[in-house]
Amino acid sequence: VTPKQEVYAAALMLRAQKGEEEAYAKLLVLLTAAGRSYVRSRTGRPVPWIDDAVQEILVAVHQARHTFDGRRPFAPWFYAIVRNRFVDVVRRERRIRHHEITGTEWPDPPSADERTSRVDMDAVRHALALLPPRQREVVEAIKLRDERVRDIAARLAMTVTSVKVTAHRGYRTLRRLLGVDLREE
Amino acid sequence: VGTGRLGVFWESTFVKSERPDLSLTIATLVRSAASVVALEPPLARFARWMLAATALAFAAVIVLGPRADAGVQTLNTWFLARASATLAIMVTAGMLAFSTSVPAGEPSLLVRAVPLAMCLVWAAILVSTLPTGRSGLVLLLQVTPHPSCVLSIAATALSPAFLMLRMLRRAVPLQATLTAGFAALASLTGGALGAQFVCTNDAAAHHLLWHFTPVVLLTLAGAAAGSLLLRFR
Repeated sequence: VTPKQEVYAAALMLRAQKGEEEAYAKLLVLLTAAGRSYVRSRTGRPVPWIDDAVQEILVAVHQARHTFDGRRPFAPWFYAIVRNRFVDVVRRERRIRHHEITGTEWPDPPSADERTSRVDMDAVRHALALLPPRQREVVEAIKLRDERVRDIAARLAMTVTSVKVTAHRGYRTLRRLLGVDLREE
Repeated sequence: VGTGRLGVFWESTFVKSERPDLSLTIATLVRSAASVVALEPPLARFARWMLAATALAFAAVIVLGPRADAGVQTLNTWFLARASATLAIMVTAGMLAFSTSVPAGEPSLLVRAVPLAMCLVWAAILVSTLPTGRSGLVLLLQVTPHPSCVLSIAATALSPAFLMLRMLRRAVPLQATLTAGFAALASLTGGALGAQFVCTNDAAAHHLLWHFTPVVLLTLAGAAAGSLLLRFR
């Protein structure tokens, strides 16, 4: 946080303390960048838990916002919270790494492609084919053809609500067919 | 239907994100952000606590029964020296408890060591006035047990301690053990000060064993317990 940003952030925080949502949103966006930059500088390398740390920082700032005194500078207040949360997150990550991973390298987080590659796409395709015709049509229209719900409703002579209900039922059927535990939701 | 499209479908519908969505976090926090009353400066909160703690300690002394010569003792140098030491610890520890309860309010290490130095001064006052000619250990072993003094200290300290805990929980003590330790020390030395107006035994050995030592031990226990109650999550 530069001196200029500090004055700006303090002003935003004072407005946020009065309940101004817009000021608070701007402040949190600013602090997200500052928090991320702090974590990066302290770890010295990209870590997969950076967003977790930033999230913890934002929540802590939220919980502590009433303790900010406008007569005192903003940056020391903010970085005291950041340091505290960062240490907690690092300890937690070390604990997790110590107990769950036997290796010196923290693995990169799986990309979306890697995660989906673990899914049997043939099984998804097969499950889609097993859906009742109306449900399959709605699910494919929404998820695979990016059609708008209103357009689907017009095309299939359904109401918007019934399209949404049919889609929801389709997802539930798919989950059951693919063996996804509904309690995990 | 291509596999990529199916993948996106799978991802968006069934796969939980492994990373937090910060924009969602911000939106949620902004939605739940009502206006807040900014916390008063630490010194103002300390002043309020000090006033209330004095009144509560006074009430506790009245309930426990003040010593008959309490008024006369306030002119006694030995009594005043002990009272000044405990009052100084109570004030410095209390101020530090409140200042460490807000982010960036932690003073330097030197300032944080002041209550500890005051405790040493209190101990030094007591040790220096022990009768000469016999070893300190022998003197301490000969002291008649006085658990009622420990109870007086604890009883007098109890309500100021609860009040401080309540006030500190409104703040955000990032170093919970430190804050809890200062809070316990401030409350217990307040209790020790009150107990001085109840206990009729003015012997240095008695005060060392049944006033100073319990305060130190209860402060350590209070710091451990308080750190759990004050931890910022």
